[in-house]
Amino acid sequence: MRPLFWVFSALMSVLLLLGDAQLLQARPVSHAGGYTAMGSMSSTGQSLHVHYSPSVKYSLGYRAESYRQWSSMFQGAQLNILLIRLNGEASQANVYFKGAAGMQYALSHSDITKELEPAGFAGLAADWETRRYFVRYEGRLILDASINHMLRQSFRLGIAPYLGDYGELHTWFMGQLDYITATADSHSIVVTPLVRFFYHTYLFEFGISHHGGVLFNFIVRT
Amino acid sequence: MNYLLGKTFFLTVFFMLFLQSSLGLAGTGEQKASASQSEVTSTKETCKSKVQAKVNGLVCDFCARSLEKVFLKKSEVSQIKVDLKAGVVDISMKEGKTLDDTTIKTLFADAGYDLKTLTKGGCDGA
Repeated sequence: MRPLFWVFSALMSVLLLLGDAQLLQARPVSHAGGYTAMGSMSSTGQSLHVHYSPSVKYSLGYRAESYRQWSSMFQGAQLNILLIRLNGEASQANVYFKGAAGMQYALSHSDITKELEPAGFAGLAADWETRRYFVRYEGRLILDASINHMLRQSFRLGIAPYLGDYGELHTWFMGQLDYITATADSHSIVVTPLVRFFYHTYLFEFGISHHGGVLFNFIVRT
Repeated sequence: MNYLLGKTFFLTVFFMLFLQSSLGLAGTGEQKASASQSEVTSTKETCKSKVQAKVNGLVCDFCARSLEKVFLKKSEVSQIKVDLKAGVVDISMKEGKTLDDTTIKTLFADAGYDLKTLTKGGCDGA
């Protein structure tokens, strides 16, 4: 068990050196029996989340995420629960709970065994979309055993310039605002225009934030 | 150096996942094989029940994929076609097979969508 942890730690530590994590979008719960892998790389950090949905109501999975604010890495188990789904004739709205528990360690320290501490997060995400428009809000409170906390909020708007059918390439133009509060007097705002490409069950997003940070997200679902 | 290593790893993970899905190593292939087999079967059938469902909440390809996965697990179903523009799902049954309305409604719910109307068709070639 321990070697596996070190392998994950080493691999994800490398990822952190690229930047910081971003709240990754949409659909943390799949259909019954569905697997999903989603990754994010941006100027606020990296994250990788792989989950399985036993039912359409919840999913369970592994999460690794780096936090630039703390120069730290989190790894743990994540639970996503679909609290509300409203299916309209041409729209869909969802409210999700997201919670995770695991271990966090500082990436700046050479011996991470001395830095391991319990950590986790809880949050809510809400989205509404049609085939033309997309709106999403997500907020997460991240805590560790040292009583550090970070509130990460993300708001996104999107529009599809054309409507494709199933199996065709879908394109979205989106704007994302991230507001991150690490302490009472420390916060940061990141604005990122981005383009989303959605083909079959592969989703990719590319963007550049207002201070030049590159955003890359992907979702693969089976 | 670290930057390049990280980027290489990230992209490698991504493309492995992409290839896995494309080549069907994690279930996608089973569906493609099933769909392919269903197409062959359908050409041999002279009579096949069809059901057309109007569904609420169909807004993206993930929705369509979910419906495919859920319905094609049922042995009675030979093919499913999702029309996102119309919000309509056409379900073809294997010869002599059928699904009752309650089961169909449950399957849509399992995929995360609401069945609005259900229209049962006739038989091909009949």
